[in-house]
Amino acid sequence: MKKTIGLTTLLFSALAITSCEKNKDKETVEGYKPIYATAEDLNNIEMRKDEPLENPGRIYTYEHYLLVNDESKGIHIYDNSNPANPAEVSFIAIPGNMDFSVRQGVLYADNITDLVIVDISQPASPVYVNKIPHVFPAQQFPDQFGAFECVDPAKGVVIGWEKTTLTDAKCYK
Amino acid sequence: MKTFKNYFLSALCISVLIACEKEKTNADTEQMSSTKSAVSSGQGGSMAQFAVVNEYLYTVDYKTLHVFLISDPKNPIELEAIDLGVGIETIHPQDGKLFIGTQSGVRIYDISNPRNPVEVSEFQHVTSCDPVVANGNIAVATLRGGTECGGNLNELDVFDISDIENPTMLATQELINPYGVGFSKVNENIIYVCDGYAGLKIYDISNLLAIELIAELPSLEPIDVISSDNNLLIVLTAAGVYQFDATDPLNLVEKSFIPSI
Repeated sequence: MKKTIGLTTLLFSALAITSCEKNKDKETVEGYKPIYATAEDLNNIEMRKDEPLENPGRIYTYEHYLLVNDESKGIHIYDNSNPANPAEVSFIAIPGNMDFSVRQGVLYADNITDLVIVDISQPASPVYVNKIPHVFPAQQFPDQFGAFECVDPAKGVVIGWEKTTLTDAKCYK
Repeated sequence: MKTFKNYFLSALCISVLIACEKEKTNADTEQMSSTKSAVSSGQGGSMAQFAVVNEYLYTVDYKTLHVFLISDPKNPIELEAIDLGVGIETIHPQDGKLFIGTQSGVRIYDISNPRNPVEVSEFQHVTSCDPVVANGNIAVATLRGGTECGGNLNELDVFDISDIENPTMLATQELINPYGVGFSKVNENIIYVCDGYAGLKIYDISNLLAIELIAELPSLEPIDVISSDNNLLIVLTAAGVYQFDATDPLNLVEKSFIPSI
């Protein structure tokens, strides 16, 4: 975090020096821009195996299984009957997924604006059941405070944010 | 006179409607108790935004508490979407209550009517991120300041919630980079606190007026913990997921590690 502040300060200093020469409308600042997905991408829920864990975001235990959310990507299911050797039995790819719960062999997970229902009564072979569309709000701003590129719904649904240098940023949090 | 008659009729209609609604709720409750024994649901960490309580799924996004009926597991029905204002972060169910961590404090909702969560109290604090968990009469929350959360305070707060309408803060400890927190299932006087890059910290809270840091694992960068029924402690870190044998809650013995790439 300190690094970010340092970089921002540096950018601002650089800006202060160069602003005399440059047009004020073209100010640059470090911030975030939306990553968009189309409706088609969002519906791309897939059952896979042997998917590497990238950015673990949530942990969950269900019976002798350990479930780990991979931020924005989906959910890994590990057979944890031997905690000394958890073994991945499946990966449920759910675009934008951040959280989930399980009851009676059924998994409920967020898929950006939708609630997805997956039958995991056989955890090694999950079966997509259904989804309830448009229950959650679309992301309008990043988690972090500061400048960001305003969301343009015409470009799709926001599934995440990436750090970038913004020119003439109009949105701030 | 006519107006009076209309009022009377409307009142009658409303009471009939209420009666029907009540009957429906009772029927649901009955169904719930009859199926309860066969039900299994899982356990999440303190940073969770989804929580299952009996036949209901509760979720929070940054501004809304959603209530879904999941009695027919593959056909959830959204019953309510309650606007809680902005800065909503985590949800933790305990003893018929929902503890909701927000950027301005902790809110407690009563769910004796599971379809209709009612706010019973709130303990406000400075702007920060704060997961909250509870066990019996004790609730613990961590407050994290910084760019994502606002504010600049980093601490652990312990509350007495025996009077649920008037929670009172009993103790506070300074932290460095706090995230999730959890009670030990082996010994409820032990809590595990994820202090980010400052490591996993283990506190003894048996004396609430003098909670004590009794052990730490500075090499971890923990984000959340689950203390499970089989004496395991599962620790989520950015580097991957650790599992410890926590039979002795102070002496964690590493059993496995799932690394992230």
